[in-house]
Amino acid sequence: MSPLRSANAPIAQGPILDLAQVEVRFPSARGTFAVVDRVDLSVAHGEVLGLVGESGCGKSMLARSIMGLVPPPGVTTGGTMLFNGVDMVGLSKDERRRLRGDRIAVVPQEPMTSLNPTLRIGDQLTEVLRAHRPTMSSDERRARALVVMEQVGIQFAEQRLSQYPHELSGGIRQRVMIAMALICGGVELLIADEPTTALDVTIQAQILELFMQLQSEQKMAVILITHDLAVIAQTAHRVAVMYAGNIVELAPVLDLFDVPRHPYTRGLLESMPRRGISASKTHLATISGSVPDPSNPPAGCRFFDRCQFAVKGTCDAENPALEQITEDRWVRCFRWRELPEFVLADAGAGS
Amino acid sequence: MTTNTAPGDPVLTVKNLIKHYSLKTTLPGQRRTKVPAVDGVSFDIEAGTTMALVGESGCGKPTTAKLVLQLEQADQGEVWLSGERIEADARHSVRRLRRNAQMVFQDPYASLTPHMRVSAILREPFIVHRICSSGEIDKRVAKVLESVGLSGEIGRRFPHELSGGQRQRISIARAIAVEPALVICDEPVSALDVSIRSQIVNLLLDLQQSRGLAYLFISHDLGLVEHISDTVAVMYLGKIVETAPSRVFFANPRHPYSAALLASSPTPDPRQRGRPAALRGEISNMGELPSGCRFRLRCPMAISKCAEVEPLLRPVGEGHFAACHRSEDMAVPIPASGQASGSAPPGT
Repeated sequence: MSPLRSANAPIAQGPILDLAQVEVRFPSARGTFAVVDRVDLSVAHGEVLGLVGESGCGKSMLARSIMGLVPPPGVTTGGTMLFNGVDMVGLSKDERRRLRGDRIAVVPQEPMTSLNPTLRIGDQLTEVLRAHRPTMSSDERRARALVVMEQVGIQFAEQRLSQYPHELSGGIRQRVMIAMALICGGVELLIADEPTTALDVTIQAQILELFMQLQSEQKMAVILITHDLAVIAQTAHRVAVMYAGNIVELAPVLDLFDVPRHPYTRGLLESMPRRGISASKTHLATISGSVPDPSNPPAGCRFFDRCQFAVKGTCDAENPALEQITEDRWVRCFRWRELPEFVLADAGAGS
Repeated sequence: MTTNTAPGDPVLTVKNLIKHYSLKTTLPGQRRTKVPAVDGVSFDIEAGTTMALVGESGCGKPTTAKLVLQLEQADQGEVWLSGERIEADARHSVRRLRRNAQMVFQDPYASLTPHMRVSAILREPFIVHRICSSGEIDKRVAKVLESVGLSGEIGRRFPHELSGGQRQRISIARAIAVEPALVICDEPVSALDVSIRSQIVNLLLDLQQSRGLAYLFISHDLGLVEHISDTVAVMYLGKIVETAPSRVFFANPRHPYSAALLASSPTPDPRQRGRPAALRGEISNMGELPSGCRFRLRCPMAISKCAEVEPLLRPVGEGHFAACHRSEDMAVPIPASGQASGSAPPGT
């Protein structure tokens, strides 16, 4: 087993990204509402941070905010975003653009819709270099493209350069997206937004393996956004769980899966069918209800309606703060100390 | 309308289904290539049981479903539903099929008509199949809503006003309204949020138990498949390469492709990481199949015989069939955390 795959890798140096009180708001009929609500989060050099949550919880919007690409009419309205000590919120559009694609890169979910169908792969790859390395000659750009394509495991790279996106399979397209993120050679932070959701499991396994290999070779920090806890379990060092715009739990990956502290995290882990463990054709554990409307969040804890441990008068009075409970764990719950021990149903009978 | 099946008889029998598509050519005079999307598929599903159909995209799972429902015309083969052979060109036969077999689609956002209220969506099956008098329809709609765990009040709403989970409940309600014997579920929970999935899975299990429904369950989520299925059939490039009772299949797959699928599906356990990807390469183009076994170019166990003789589905155990020359070499129980057989870790 290579060291990068071990679950709790030591984290070197200080944070590469340090978010404090980041807020993204959208206008509504009644003023504005926060889609990302005062998020504090830091990512260390060389760390893989998993960001999990359901659709609409704000995870993708947080990523877009870090990129400086919140779609209008949304705006990043507050907080600081230190990237290597420099607050990106204060940067001009031009300065943001210079970071993006060069030192901060993104791998999107849908390789089909993220590639321009009318341009050859080679043109799309080298476009990044044209923007960020204007002094390179076209031969140098082409040579660099070939090197990166080899790095991400694309065979017949020479031919691929002149192909169009529709001629490639989903797996190769996603490799092209990864090559595009790496082509400048100086990526320090890679944001991968559901990078394998659209792929088959066999291809997903290949792409995740590639990610982890590149991550350790290039010592870059990765924010991996996904709704799939199994993908998180296979890749992340630390995990942030988001719910309705808030981070509700932040913990090293082993701790999160062993002893989840937030009722929402517990619910997610309990409701997954597990190979070889859950008895077949029996009811799965559920989380009742559905996610609250972001434009009209409840006054108290946002998980109140769905929480089996909620107490009236405490939990619905105000939204709990994200509380630091150990050196490296945070949880947003009034009652985390009082919750019963977390035991997966049938966990012992599976062997 | 009476069905003449005894309990234990299969609700659905599919015999040697074949569907070849011809690829459009771009150049005049270029030869048309035939693509065997479904190439000799046979299976049975008994009442009250679930057969899961698994495999990568492009292996022919949805085409198989369409052929069963006669949404596509098969080139060859038979579909028997509740003891009756479906004749594709007889309208009465197809109409009976449409009542007896229903489908739940993957995307509840796309499968409900956006300008119809929920009550109108659910009235349609009763009207189309003339199930009851018009005076009775509203009562039946309320009843079917109740059986999927929704209140009658929701009937006044439009699909866009509902959450993903509620929409999928409506799709299920629409499917079971006509009291079918078979429901084809095409990835019914993969578009839903994690916290909603288990609610819908439980609903499907309850409905199966109370109504004796047979499910053909198309899914790529093997954890879910293990949980809900009675039998599993694995498809690869238009063919079923392995089929077995669920328990047997997950304990000891006997086709290298099945083993690779199992090894590829990520485990929600951070202590079990670092397994190398089980399969190299991608599913090949159906237009250019290799000689012999269709899987051999990606297979970690391929031998020279695999290029010469196409392996046929043959019995390898109780109710267990596999199409592989080397099934016997795989007859060892693979521990749950086991490595994929035969593939070396890359670049270590």
